[in-house]
Amino acid sequence: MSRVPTILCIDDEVLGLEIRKVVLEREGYVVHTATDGPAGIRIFRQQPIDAVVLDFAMPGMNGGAVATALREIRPNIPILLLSAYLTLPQEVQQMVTLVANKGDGALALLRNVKKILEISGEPS
Amino acid sequence: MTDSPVGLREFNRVVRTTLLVPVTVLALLAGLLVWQVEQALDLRQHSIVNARVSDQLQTLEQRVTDQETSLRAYQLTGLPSQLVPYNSAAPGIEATLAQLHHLPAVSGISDTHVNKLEQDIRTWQTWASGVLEQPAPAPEAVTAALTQQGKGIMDGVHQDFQDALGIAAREREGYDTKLNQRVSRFLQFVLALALAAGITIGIFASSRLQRVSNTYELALEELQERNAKVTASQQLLSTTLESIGDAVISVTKEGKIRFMNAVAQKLTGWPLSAATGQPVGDVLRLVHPQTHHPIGDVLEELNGSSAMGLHHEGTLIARDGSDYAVDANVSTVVDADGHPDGSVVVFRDVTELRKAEVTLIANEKLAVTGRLAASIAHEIHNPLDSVANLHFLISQEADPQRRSDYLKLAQQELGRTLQISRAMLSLYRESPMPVQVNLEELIGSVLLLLDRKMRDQNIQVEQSFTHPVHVYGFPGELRQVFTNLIANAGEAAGPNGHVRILVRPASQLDGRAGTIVEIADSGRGIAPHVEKKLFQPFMTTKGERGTGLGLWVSLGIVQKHGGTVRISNSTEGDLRGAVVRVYLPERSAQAKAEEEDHDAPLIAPPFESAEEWAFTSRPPAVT
Repeated sequence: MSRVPTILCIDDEVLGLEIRKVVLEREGYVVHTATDGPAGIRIFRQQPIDAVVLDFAMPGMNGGAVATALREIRPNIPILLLSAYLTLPQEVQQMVTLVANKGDGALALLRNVKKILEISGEPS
Repeated sequence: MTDSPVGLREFNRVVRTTLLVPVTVLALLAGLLVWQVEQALDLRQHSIVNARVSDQLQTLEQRVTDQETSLRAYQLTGLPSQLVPYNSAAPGIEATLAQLHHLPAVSGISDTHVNKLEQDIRTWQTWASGVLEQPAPAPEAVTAALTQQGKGIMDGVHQDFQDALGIAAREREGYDTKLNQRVSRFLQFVLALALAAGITIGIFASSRLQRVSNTYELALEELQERNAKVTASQQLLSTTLESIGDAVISVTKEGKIRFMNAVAQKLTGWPLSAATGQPVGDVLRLVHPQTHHPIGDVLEELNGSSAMGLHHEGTLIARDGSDYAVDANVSTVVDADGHPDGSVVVFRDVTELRKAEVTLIANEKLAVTGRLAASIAHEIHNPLDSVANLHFLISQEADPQRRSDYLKLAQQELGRTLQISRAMLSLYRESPMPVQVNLEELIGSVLLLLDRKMRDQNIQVEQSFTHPVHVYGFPGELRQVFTNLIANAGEAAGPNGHVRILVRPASQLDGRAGTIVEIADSGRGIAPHVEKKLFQPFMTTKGERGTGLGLWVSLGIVQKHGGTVRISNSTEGDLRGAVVRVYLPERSAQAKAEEEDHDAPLIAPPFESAEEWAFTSRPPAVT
């Protein structure tokens, strides 16, 4: 992977989303943001995205549904699903690369993003 | 005879005829007797009259004889003094003759006889007058011829008398014979008749009495049969009363104990023998479950009201001081004519039920939190996530301005976390006394907790307060109620649905002071088969996801605040789902009770609409 990875962050919590963007940018990633599922999918189609950081609980279209749509477009796209819930439905967990709890901190976030990029990035 | 129907009327009829027939026969007999006696008396009268006529005739003959004797003496002596008897007899003769002319027919002496007698007497008197007109002859001159002439005439007179007396005697004899015959015949007749009547009455009375006896016997049998039936039915009632699990006390109109079944005796601790006749308030001592103030006379409210039962909940203090939580129902008993005849108190020991309810209520409180748990976790984790990220950024940031911005943001996010945790805790933290509650604030904090849940489903929540609303009550409990009702509305509305919360004063509608909170949703409304069971415990339409206690406990809480809950399907406006209306009085009954230290009055609900459904089961007593 020669270029800087581009990350798409989708979350309805605007403040949390902006802070997450700053954290990831500080690490050197290119970050796009969207505050709901449909907007995220639109950006995903238009931009070269390397990984997606997705919030689960969102009005209208939840993280599970967004992940399904993204995987339909690109079945191998690495997705990190963030959730405040302790347990998520099995089928949702299978739809993403990694599931992490919100509130674990910035280091955990960066570690997880790196991890999903490695999982999908190594073979290519 | 015995196959005739037995009844009091028949019995009376038989007795009547049994009396009437002999009385009639005896009356006829008496009439006959009277008639016979009258006949005999007539004959006797005839005989008496006849005897009197004979007396008159004899008197007259005596006087005529006196005259003749007196005249003969005068003829023989020539002394005028000898004529005194002659003269004195004359008026008597005239009077008697006059009487004889008016003889009654019964004497048997005809006028011809009387006329001949008078004629002969007159003939002699004429002759005697002729003798007296001549100068008194010398005694020796009186010839035999002369005396013989007078004698001859007199003999005729005597002959007339004898004829008449003979007739009278024969006549009298006839009457006497007839009387004797009649009396003897009458005696025989009476004897025969008495015998006949006696036998007839005897036979008749005997047959009648037989019938009466049969009738009586049948009546007796029937009576015994009925008695047996009544005894059996009494036995059945008594067994039933003793067998049922509820306590039953029957009370007289005067409020004295008439009967208690075994359960009632056990619960009150009063044996029936000691309790009978005691005032019901002494035996059935009910006190308020919380305040332990006596719940007046359970019968008092019944006065003048219908036979419908009055419900009381309270604590029963038994004779030995032990206490039971009881539910009591009081009903008026009416007699066969529909007049009130005392009352019946039916009550049961609900101590275990109350304990179970307390557990259920606690469970439901936990369930409400459980319902919110996901939402709360999200609400807390989101800001915490931001804070954690900000903490990283601050540690990495050299620019003081940026660090300051990040700190401010972190503080803001921590504040949000605190707000959520406070809202959640206030569900549990409860003030021991009712306090002034700002409904707008309270519902706002409930919506804060539910916000994530609603937003996840993209449910629009509208709220409208027509004026600042304060009620008096327990904020934690009211939060629980509105959390339940609004979460229900959200679940009913479903994704992209709509929930509207309208708070308005109740007085606008019906003059009753208080507040109505109306929660309407855009769901499908309440299915007809569910409506009747809405407020029953364990009733849920959510399967495993619901405890089925939400509405039941909510109703209990609202009633504790003196309010009511009504649920209906909306028929107008843009939201055609269910509408829940919670009425809260301006000042809750409970609060008043605690202040004024007496029983809470029952507040009638202000809802009238027919399409609305009231609860159909007893809500829990939330304490």
